[in-house]
Amino acid sequence: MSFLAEAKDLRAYYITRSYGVERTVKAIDDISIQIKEGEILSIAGESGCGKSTLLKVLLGAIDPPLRIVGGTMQYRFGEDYYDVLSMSVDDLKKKRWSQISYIPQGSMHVLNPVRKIGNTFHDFIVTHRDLDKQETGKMARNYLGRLGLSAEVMNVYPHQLSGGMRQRVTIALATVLSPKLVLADEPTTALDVLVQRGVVQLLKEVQQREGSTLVLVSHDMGVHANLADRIAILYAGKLVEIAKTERIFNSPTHPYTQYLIESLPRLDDKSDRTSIPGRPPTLENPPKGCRFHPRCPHALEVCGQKVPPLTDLGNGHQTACFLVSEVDNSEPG
Amino acid sequence: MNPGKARATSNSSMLLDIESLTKIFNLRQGLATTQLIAVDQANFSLKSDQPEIFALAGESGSGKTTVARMILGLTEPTSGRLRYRGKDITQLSRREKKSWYFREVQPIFQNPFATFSPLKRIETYLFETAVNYQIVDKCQLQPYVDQVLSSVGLSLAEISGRYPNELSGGQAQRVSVARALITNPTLLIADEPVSMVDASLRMSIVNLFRELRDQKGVSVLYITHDLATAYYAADRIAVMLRGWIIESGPVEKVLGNPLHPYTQDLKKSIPTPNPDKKWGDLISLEGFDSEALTNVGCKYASRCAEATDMCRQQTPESVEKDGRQVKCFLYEAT
Repeated sequence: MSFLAEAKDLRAYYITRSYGVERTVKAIDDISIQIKEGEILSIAGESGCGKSTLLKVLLGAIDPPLRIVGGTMQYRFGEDYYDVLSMSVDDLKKKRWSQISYIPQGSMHVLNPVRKIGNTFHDFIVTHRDLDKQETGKMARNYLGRLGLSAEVMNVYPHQLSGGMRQRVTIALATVLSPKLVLADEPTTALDVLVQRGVVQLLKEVQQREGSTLVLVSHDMGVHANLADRIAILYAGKLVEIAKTERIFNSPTHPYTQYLIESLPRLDDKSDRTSIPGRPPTLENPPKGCRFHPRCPHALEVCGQKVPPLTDLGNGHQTACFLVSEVDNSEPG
Repeated sequence: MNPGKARATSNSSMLLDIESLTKIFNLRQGLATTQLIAVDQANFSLKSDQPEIFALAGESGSGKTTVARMILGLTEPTSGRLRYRGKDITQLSRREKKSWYFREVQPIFQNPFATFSPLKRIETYLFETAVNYQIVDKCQLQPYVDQVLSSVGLSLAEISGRYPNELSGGQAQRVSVARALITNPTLLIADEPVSMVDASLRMSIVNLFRELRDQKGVSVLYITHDLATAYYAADRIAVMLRGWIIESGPVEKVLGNPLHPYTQDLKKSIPTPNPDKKWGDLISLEGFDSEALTNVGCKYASRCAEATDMCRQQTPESVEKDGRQVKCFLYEAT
C-alpha cells in the first residue's frame, strides 16, 4: 500500500519548565498511523486529546515546548522518502505549501490584516515559483475562478470578507500550489450550518480534482460522516480505533467509540442519549494501562495494568482494546 | 412542594411574554451613524403552568443572544413589550429585580471558565448567591448547597476547595447550572450552554435540562446554534434569521417538517452523523456574500430559491400554518 506520510511509535510531549517545576504533557503517546495517497482521513476526538498536536507533527511544525521524544515520521513524495524529524528547517519550508499545506481554524488570524488578498497570494506563490507579479495575479485569479470565488476578492482586505468567505480564501491559498497533502485543523468550526456545508463541499471538490490527500481534524462527527474515507479516533493522546467511515459509525468496537457514536443527537430521533460517565483524563498524569479504563463499563483487570495494543480486525479496521484482542470470538463491547 | 409552582398559580398564565420586541443598535463611525437591527419584532411566550424547554436557534448574528440579554435586563429594548408574569421587566426597580425577578429568572452562560473567576474557589459562588438572595438561614447553608448540587449530579464534598481550572468543562458547567438553581428559579436563560463542553459530556448537560423540566418544573430558554441538540432537548423552537423569528412552533414540526425555505435549507445542511445519509446536492454560497443589509423585503430573499419580486419589496407577516408560525409569503394565502 502506498502511503504519503507515516508516523511510527510517535511520541510528542509538551515539556515546559517554569520556576524549577517541570511539566510534561503527553499529547501524543505512541501513535502509529499511515496516511494513504488520495484518501480523506479524519481525526476525531474531544478537546485536549492530541488531535491538533498530531496535525502539527504531520506538518513538521515542531517548535518548543513541543518536542518529539520518540518514534519516526516520514513523507513519501514520488519515489523520495523524507524523514521529517531530521529535515532542516529550510528543506521543510520548501516542502511546505508546495507539497504539504495547512488550513488553520481561525481564518481571521491567519490572513495578514494589512495586505490585500491578492498580495497575500503573490507572497505565497513567489516563495515557491519563479513568477512576476502579473503572472502570480493571473494564476491566483484563475484558481479562485475554478473554486467559484469571484476575482474581486483579490482587491479587498481580510476584514472586508465574511467568515465563510475568508475560510474559502484560506482554502484557496492553501491549495493554489497543488500540494499533495492538505492538513485541515477544524476548518468549519466557527461557521454557520449553511456556510459549513459549502466549505466542506469545497474541500472535497479540491481534494477530488487535484487528487490530493486530505487530513481533517474536527470534533463534529457529522462532518466526518459526510467527508471522510477513514476515521481515526484519538483518546487522551492514544489512537484507540481506526477504520473506514462506515465501520466506525455502524460497527465500532472500542467502548469509547461506541459511546461517542451512541451519544450523538440525531434529527429524526428523540430517544434518550446518555453521555460517557466520568471525565477525560489530564495528559499530564494519564491513568495506567488503557487510558479509558476508569470510564469504561467493560473494564477488565488487565486494562488497568497493561496498555492494549492496536489489533488488526481485518479490512483496515484496527482497535486498541483488550476486549477485542484478548478474547477473539466473544461479543465486542 | 416546589415554591416555584405555588407562585405560578397566583399570577398571570403567561410566564414570559414577548411582544414585537425590537432592538436597534446605532453604530457610529466618525460622523456617520448606521443602524443595525439586531432583533426585529420578535414574538413568543412561555406558559407558566406548563414547564418546557424552548429553543431559540439561529446562526451567529441572528440576534438570539440579544434576546437573552434583554430578558436578563442587560440590554434595554428599543421598542416592544417584555413581560414576566404580567409585569413589564424594563420598568422593574432595582429592588424588585433583586427581591423578585432574579430569584425567578437565572442565567447560564456559554463558557463556564469565563463565568467563574479563576482565583476564587468554585463553591464560593454557590454560597454567595444563597446569601445575597437570602435563600436560607446561615446554619442551613451547607446542606442546602449540597442538596442543590446533588440535583445536578455533583456533591459539595466533590467540588469544595477546588478552583475552576481543576474541574472538567462538563463539571464546571454543572456547577454553573447549580449556581443558577440556588434561587429556586422558574426560568433558566441558557445561552449556548453546551458549545464549550466536550462531545462526550455534552449530552449530560442537555439531559440535565430535561430532568429539571420534568422533576422541578423549571422552564428553560435554550439558546443554541446546534439544531441536533435543540431537536433532542426542546419542546418548542423558534428559528431566528437576522433578527426575525422566521418559524416557530413544536420542534417535531419545525425541524421535522420545516415550511420556511430557510429552515428547509438549514435542515438539509445539518451534517448527519450517518455515512449513509451524506449531503446530496451541492449548495451554492453565492447569495451569502453579496447580501446587503437592507431593511426592505424578506431577509432570506437574496438566498432563497423561491424568492419572487414581492419577497424583495415587501415584508412578509407571520402566519399560522400547520400548528406553527411561519414568516413567508408562500403561506400567506391560506
